[in-house]
Amino acid sequence: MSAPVQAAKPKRRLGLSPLAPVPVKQCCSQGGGPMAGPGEPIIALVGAPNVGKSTLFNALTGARATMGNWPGTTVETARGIWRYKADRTTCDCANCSCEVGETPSQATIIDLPGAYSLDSEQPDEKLTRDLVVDVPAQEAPDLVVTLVDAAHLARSLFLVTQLREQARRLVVAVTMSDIARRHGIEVDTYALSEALGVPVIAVDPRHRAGLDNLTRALVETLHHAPPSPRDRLAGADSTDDERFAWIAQAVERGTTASGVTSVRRSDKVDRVILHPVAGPVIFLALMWAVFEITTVVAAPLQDGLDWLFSGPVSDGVSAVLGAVGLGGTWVEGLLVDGLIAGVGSLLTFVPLMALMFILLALLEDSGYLARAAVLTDRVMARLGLPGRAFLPIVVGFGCNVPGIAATRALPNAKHRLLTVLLIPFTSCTARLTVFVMLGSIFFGRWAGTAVFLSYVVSILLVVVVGLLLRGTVWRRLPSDPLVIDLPPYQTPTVRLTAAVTWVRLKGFLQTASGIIVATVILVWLLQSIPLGAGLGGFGDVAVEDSLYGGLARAIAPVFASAGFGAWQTVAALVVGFVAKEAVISSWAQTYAIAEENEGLLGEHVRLAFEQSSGGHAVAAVAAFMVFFLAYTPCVATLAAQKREVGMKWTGFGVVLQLAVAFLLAVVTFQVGSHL
Amino acid sequence: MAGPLSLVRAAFGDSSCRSVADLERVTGLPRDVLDAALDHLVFTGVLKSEALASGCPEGACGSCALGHSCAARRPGDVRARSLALVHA
Repeated sequence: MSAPVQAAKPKRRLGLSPLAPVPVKQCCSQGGGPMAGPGEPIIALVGAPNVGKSTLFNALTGARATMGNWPGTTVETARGIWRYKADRTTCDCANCSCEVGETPSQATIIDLPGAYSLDSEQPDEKLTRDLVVDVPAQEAPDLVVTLVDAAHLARSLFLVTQLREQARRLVVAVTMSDIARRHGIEVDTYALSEALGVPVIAVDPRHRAGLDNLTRALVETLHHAPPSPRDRLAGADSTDDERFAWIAQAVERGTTASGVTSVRRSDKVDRVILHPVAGPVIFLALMWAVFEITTVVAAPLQDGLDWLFSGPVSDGVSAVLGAVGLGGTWVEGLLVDGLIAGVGSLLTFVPLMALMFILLALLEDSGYLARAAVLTDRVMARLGLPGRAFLPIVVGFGCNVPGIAATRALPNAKHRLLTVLLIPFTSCTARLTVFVMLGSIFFGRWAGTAVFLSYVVSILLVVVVGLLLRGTVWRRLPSDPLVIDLPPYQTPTVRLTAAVTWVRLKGFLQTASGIIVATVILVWLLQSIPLGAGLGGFGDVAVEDSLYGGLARAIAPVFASAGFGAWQTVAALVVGFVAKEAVISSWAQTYAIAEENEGLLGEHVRLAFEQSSGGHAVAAVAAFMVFFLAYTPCVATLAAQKREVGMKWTGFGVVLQLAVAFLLAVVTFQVGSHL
Repeated sequence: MAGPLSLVRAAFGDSSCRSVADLERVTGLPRDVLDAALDHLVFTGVLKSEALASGCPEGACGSCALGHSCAARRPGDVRARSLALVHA
C-alpha cells in the first residue's frame, strides 16, 4: 500500500495560499482558522449546481465553515474543517494491515462553485478548473469528491469524465437517489464504481445517510496512489463525443430501470396524441370542445353584462347627466353612446375570455399545447414550409405583434420574411371576440363550432398562402430541421392556471381601456361631425349623415359582391384596421345613436347583413368572417412588420392580405348564397 | 464507432425525427444520455434551444393580452423547447 498522502508533500497549498479567504471567526478552538493543520489533506467538493454539494459540505463541517469570495474573483467558496474518526474501527477490511490509524483525523474541505464541466469560461466553472485541474500538482487538492445527481446521472458524469482524464484521487458521491428511484432509475454504486474506476458512494446529506461509507471511502482513497487516467475509447469523432460514449457505457453498466416512469408514461400517451392521423383529430376535437364550452357556458354571463351596460349603467349615467343639466348634449353622447356603448360592449366578453384563457392555460400547463406544436410543425414540414417558422406562428395565435417579433430568431432571411407575411393570417385573440359575437348572433347553439371553424380556416390560410408564396416568390428555401423536446405530462395547478388566466385577462382589459377607448373617442368624433350644412350640428347628427357614415357609404359598394356591403358593416371593418376589438365597439356606437335605437345590438347587426345580402345573411356573415380573418390585423402589427421587413414588404403583405381576404369573401358568399 | 453526440447530430438530418422520443428511437441512446447530449450540444452552440409557449416574452408587446404570460409561470417549471441545428 502506498504511503499516506501527507508524508511527502511540501508545506502548502490550496488552503494556505496567502490569497485564500481568511477566516474571520473560529468556532471550535481559540487559535487558527477553520483550516486543518499543515500536511493534513485538502478535499475539494465539486459538482453541478443544486446537486446537494453545499448540504454535504455542511453535513461534514457543521458550523466550522467560512464563506468568502475567492481572491481576485467574485466567486464565493466555502471552506471548513472536517473532523472524522480515522482509527482502525473505520476500516472494516478483513485482515487489513494498512495504517489507517495514522491518517489525520481532520481535513480541510473546500466547497467549490457549481460546475457542469471544466470547459466553461464562466467565472464559477473557471475557478473550479483553475483550482482542480490547472493548478500545479503540489498545490492541487489531495482528493476531489464529485457529487452526481442520480436522477440526471449522464449529465452529472461529464465532469467526472473530464476529471478521470488525469491521475487524481477521486470519489463520486451519488445524491438524489430517492428522486431517481421515483423516476424509475436505480443506481448500482458497485457497478458504477467499476465502470468509472473510482469509488462511488450513495449519500443523502439531508438525512446524513451514507456519510460513514463516504468517510471510509475518503480515508481509503487518501491512502492510495491516484488511479491512472481512464482509457480512451477509439473511433469517436471528437473529444466530447468520446466522453459521451464513455458516459453512455458507465450509465448502461451502473443503472437499471425499474418500474414505469412519468417520462415513459408520457411517451406512451404521446404515441396516440402525436399519431399522424389520430393526433390532428384529437387536436381538432379538443379545440372544438374549448370553443363550445366557452360559448355555451359564458353566454348567460355575457347577456347579463350586456343588460347591465345597456340598461342600468347607461340609464344611470344619463339620469345623472340630466340632473346636472348635461342631458341631450354632446357630453351624454360621448359618455353613453360612445364610451359606455363601445367599451361596455367589449367588456361583456370578459367572462368569455376568462373561460377561454382558463381552458387554454389548463391545456398548456398539462403539456398538451406543446404537443399541438409538434403536430403543427409536422404538417408544416410535410408541406415543405420551414419547421422553425411554426414557433412565431404559434405565438401569433395569441397576438400577431410578438409573433412577428419572434421571427428574429429565424436565422434565414427568406424564412423570416415568409413567416412575417404569414403571421397576420393567424387568428389572434382580438379576432376571437368578433367571431364569438357573430357566431352567437347567426349560428345560435352552433356558435362554438363556428368559432372553431374560423380557427381551422386560419390554419388553412397559413398553409395555403405559405405554399402559394413558396411556389412563386421563394422557390428555393433551405431545409431547417427542428426537434421538439417535450416535458412529461403533468397535472395542471390551480395557482398557475389562475395566474396565467389573470395576466392574459389583464392584458385584454388593458387593451380595452387603452387603444379601444381612444378608438371609441375617434369614432364618436367622426360620428358627431355632419357631412354638410342642414344635417344637424356637432354631436346632433344622424350617423349616416356624419363624416363617419359618409366615408363608409363611399366604400361600402366595393363589398356588395361579398354580401356585406352595408355601410355600418364596412365602417366597422375600417375601424378594425386600428384594432380588431374595435369592430364591436364601433358597431355598438353606430347602433346606439342611430334613430332605430330600439332592440339589441345583435338584432341590428343581423338586419344589416340580411339587407346587404338579399336574404342570404348566413352566407354573407361567413364571407365577412373570412374577410375579417384574412385582412390586415391592426396598426400595431403593421408597425411590427415594417420594423422587421421594411416598408416595401409590409406594403406587399397588406396588398396580399386584402387580395386574399376579398377573393375568399366573394367566393364564400357567391357559393354560399347559391347553396 | 460514432459517439452519442455524432448520433444525435446525424439524427437531426433525419426528417422523421420531430421529437426527442423520435431521437431516442433513431439513436438508440438511453433517455438520460440523450438529454445530457442535447444539453451539451446546446451549451456548445451546436444546437439552438428556444422555449415553446403560446405566450410571448415579457415586454414584447405592451398591448398584447398574452404579453406577460411567460412571467406567470412557476419557478423551475419544465418547459417544452424546440431544438435546431445551428451548424448543419
